[in-house]
Amino acid sequence: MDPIALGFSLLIGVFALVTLLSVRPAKVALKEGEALLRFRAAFAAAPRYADPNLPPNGEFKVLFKTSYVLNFIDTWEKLDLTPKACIYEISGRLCDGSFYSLESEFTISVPADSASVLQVARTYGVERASSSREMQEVLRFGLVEAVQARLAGSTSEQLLREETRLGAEICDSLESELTLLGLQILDVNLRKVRLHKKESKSWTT
Amino acid sequence: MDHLTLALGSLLIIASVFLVIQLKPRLISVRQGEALVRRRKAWLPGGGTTVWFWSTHVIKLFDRVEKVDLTRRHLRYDVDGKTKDGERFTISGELAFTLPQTEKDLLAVCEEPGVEVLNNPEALKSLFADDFRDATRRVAEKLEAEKLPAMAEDFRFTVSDVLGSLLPGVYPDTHFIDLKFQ
Repeated sequence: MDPIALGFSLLIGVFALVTLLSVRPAKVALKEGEALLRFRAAFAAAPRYADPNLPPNGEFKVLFKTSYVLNFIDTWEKLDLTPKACIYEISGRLCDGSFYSLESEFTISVPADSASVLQVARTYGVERASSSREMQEVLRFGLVEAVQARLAGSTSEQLLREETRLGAEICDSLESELTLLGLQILDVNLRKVRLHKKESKSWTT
Repeated sequence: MDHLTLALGSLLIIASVFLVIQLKPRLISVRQGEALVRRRKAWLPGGGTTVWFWSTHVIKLFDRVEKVDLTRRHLRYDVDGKTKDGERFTISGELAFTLPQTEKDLLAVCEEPGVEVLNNPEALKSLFADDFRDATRRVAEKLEAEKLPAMAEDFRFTVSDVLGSLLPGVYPDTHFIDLKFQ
């Protein structure tokens, strides 16, 4: 064969191979409790949405099992859906005038449905929503406020004897607000309760 | 082939390659919780400032692009003040909000206060500090010290109402913790 024709054929072959490699589907492995958010660019997908913030021809998809993506047209992120523990040291004043300090553990998760996953990803970003430490910091004021507000109407006796009931009430009070953010509260656990007659002085454990 | 033709030919090829690189549409990835603001000269096709909430192609030669963080912001302040009955208090407050999710409002906030401020937590915190502290003090001034701890929910909703819309399409949510009387 003529060397020039051979050279051109080789060049075209290499180009075709590189193109094929760059458009081949890539596997994204998902573990239990993870979701894949995939956006496929406009020209590649058909569905249209009523939501004006969604692309006219593009497609957002939430997938819960190992899937393939096309890196040249897809933008994708993995969100960790496993429950996250937010633990805070809280102190405050009860309605009988005594002071308390306690440790409160909130168990928060992202429900495994597409709407909630998208809502959380948009509200906090995937990186922040997947990190226990960041979610603990982000939710601190809202969660601590709920405990302090509820306990402001409780007595020391109620706090010592009815921790479980108070925890359940705090859990209920937070439910609707967290649902709006795409989150779900699973449990509130009040523990290590200490009562003080004055601020910072230990009275009983 | 004479040298001049060769030089001009090479120059033309280099210029063409450069132009193709500059004109080649590039896919800019936009993740959830981000938006892309694209500024293109008005006289060009599709010119003006546009907002994209998803990955899109831009042309390096014509477009200037900036990403805006649309995730929920949590700005925290320490506030002191006086209740209706003259008790001095300190409280930690949080101003939480999400930037607008509609093109019109997002374009407005990208112009004023601007993308640089929106992406800088410290600048945003300074921007709303006075309004937040004033609103908290004004609401607390109308309440008695004894009633304040039990009225946490009303208190925060009232402060949010007093604050009103922070920017076009930006509505605040507030939380307060660690109320202490001095």
